[in-house]
Amino acid sequence: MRLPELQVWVWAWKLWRTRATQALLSVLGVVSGVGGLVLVLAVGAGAQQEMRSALGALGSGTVILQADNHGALDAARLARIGALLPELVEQSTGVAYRQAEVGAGESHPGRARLVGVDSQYASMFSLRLHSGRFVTPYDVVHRSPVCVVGARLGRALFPRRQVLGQVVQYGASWCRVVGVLADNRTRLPDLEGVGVSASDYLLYLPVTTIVGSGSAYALDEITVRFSDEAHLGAGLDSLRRIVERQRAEGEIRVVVPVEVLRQKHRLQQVFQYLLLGATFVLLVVGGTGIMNNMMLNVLSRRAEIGLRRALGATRADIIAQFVSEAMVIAVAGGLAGIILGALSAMLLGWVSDWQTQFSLAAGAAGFAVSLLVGIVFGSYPALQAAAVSPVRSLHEL
Amino acid sequence: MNDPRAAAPAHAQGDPAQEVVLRCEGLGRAYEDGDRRVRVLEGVELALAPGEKIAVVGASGSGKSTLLNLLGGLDRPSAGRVLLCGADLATLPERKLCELRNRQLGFVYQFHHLLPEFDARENVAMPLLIRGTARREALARAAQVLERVGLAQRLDHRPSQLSGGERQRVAIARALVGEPACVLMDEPTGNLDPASAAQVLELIDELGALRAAFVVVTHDPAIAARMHRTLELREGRLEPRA
Ligand SMILES: Nc1ncnc2c1ncn2[C@@H]1O[C@H](COP(=O)(O)OP(=O)(O)OP(=O)(O)O)[C@@H](O)[C@H]1O
Ligand SMILES: [Mg+2]
Repeated sequence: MRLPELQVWVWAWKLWRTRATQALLSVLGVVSGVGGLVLVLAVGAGAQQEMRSALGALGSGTVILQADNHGALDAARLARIGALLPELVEQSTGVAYRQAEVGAGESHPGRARLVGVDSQYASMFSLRLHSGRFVTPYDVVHRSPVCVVGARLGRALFPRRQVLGQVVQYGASWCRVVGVLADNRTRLPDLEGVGVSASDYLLYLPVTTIVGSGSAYALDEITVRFSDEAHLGAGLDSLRRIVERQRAEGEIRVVVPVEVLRQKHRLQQVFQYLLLGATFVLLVVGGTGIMNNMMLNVLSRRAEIGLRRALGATRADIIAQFVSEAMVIAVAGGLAGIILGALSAMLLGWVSDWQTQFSLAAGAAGFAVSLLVGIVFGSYPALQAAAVSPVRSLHEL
Repeated sequence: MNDPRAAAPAHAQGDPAQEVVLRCEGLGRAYEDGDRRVRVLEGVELALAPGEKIAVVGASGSGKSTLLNLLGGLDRPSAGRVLLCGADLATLPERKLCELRNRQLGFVYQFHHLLPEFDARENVAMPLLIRGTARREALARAAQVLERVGLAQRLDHRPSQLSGGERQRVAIARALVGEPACVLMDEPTGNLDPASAAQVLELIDELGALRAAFVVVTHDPAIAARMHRTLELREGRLEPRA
């Protein structure tokens, strides 16, 4: 092709600028098609990201036992699980939850969730400290009046002051802040009742401090980590048996976070496939719209084609020109579609508990697909254009 | 302004092959119309020297446009051959033919055929851009040629913002910008009012000094009178007119 690449694009751009409405109408299909594609990819990437951060924070061999009613789980059982499965269980921790009004001096941010923890908790849930320390075995044994605050709650309580060392009131009690969590950037999955999701706005205290003393205080949750995922199957069976045996005391639910996520992602996958199908249809419809527009273009510009041929344009030049016109409009639609897809991914992540993530790769895929649509659906009209006889078209006017 | 007839090149007749810009030998064109064969051109002979300017006249339907299309390699003859700058158009591969057309030929039609999306300068630059000349240079040269045809003030005007005569002058500028060896015009004033036609006529006069050979198909005796010689198409043959 003798036409310098740039020149073809200049012509194509000028053409569409003068036919903006036409271009807009014919490109809607591509906009929505590429938008859908980007959304599908963002949902997939979000699920992967969610799984990664869950695995990073919890590990793949983690099981959570949740008490459906008070007293179903207690510290004695936590000790028994550790004792029964010493070769399988790597780590275990018990948690009790409470709600309370929290405040400090002038500021009263309102109700917050209190998390009663032992010294294992921070490492099991991969909590990172901004400053200070976490709850220690000593705190648990002695029911120390100390607490660790989530980053956001810390800022709410002490907007202008250093948080560490301050005194926080919860309900009718007091505790001293011995640690502040780092900002929690990775968003963990929202598993009902699993207290890892919003560590930003939690107040952590020694479990004994909020539930009372004794060796058999009630727990809301026991989290067990098996040494690896391979042990999960065997470990789960043993856990279920232990749970079954003590059923009389109350209902206990066994939650495997990774499984919960997989379940959720399987549902998402159905959505993804459906959307992908719709996307394909939209792209074909969009491509046909562009093709239709280009066919009209070829018809109404026969004289121009003849003239260009008379001025020395080869058939290949004409093909290049018309294909690039189709590509310009398809890519313009594709770019709009990428923006649309990214926005709807953001919106979806906002209104639902699905995690979505727009990535450059999704943008690149949207771009490539729109380019392809332009080439595929621009080719036929371009061939038609190249077949126009210069003699006839010039004398048709 | 010198009289073009007086400036007729001395080597106009009987010169060696390389001094002929455009030659046709036994050129014929017939159209199949059902089982009828309509012979529009038959045994047309022509030799055009560099800088030579000829008028072709003839009744409507005598085949003038057909002849120009054959000379420009836009149409294929059914007999004989056309040689442009020594190259036989019929045997050239498409790419070479297009390149030859782009470099050695300029076309002007009855209708200007300017592209409405582009301004005068870009329309004129079109042959250069198709040739692959850098955009900046192509536009600069287009501006020069537009200046020469008296449209220095109209560079950025779209065809719709130009008068009929101006449009046709832009079309002539487009035919000349590539410095072709030969310019083919098909009734360049045919669609113009007398005043605009006069402008174009004047321009063609001024271009008399150019090295390019001209073949001008016209009904206008005023144009014909300004050419070196006038040929008439009659019954498929090209004959000198008395
Ligand atoms: N594609 C074609 N198929 C069949 N016949 C054709 C075709 N093109 C031209 N002709 C015939 O060839 C003859 C010459 O046509 P041409 O256009 O060359 O005439 P012309 O001399 O340019 O006429 P005018 O002065 O009206 O422009 C006409 O009789 C026309 O009908
Ligand atoms: Mg004609």
